[in-house]
Amino acid sequence: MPRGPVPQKLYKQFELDNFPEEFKKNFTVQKVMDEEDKHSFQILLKNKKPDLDWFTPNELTVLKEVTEIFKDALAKDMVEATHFKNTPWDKTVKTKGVGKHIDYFLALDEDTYLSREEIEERFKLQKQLSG
Amino acid sequence: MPLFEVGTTFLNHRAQNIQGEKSKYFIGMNNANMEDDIIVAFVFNTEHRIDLYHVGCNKEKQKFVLKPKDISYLTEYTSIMLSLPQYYYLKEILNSNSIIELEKANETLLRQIKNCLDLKNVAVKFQQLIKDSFK
Repeated sequence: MPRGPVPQKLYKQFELDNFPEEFKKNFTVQKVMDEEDKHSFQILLKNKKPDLDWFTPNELTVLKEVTEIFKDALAKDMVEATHFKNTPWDKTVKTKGVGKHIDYFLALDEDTYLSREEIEERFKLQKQLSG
Repeated sequence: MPLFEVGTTFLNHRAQNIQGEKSKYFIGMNNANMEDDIIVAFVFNTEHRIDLYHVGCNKEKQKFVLKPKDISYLTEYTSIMLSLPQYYYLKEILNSNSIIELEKANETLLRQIKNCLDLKNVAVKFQQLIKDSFK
């Protein structure tokens, strides 16, 4: 995967259309037929409206912003946007090589109001709690 | 009285991970009566950097710092991690051998914790449950 890493297990499931039953019950996955965008998949919810109450107001704001920016974009355009120069992906490829783990801390910028120590504490706890 | 009362703290041994971290204490922030009711809970974490925070609400950092004995079993400064809401179903708490209900935080402390929450970082579903339990 030249622009990886990707979650390998999930990617294989997409390619082989081999999803767990729970997933098949709720989603349809279609390969995009557009010549320009042929490595992409479209995921559709089956007759269901998502329950957005599971999201926080901050998460909903981010989701709205992302949909506004990318609503007319092809998947390849979205891929492009996340692989620009100096993005965490670009920095990782330059320092560790293609397909290597991208450190979350590369997303930190001068606007971050938490210290690295505080973010590490949250990460560690979150990991423990998600088992 | 509800089966699970807002402000009840509990110990979850299952929160123990493979690296052998300690079991975790939580505080539930809403009432629950039915087995499938959700309980919004926040995890406790021993505060090793008390030099960086003050006791009580540290809203910007989304930590509520408790001093020893604020809850009788606490022997060290402890942060309630308000940035990491978790949820349990009441049946999990009632039926699990690994979860032990402990004492309830006092009313004043409980309201201070609730007022310290940055609701922009709490799921809408959870906000409603918390709000309904503080009427």
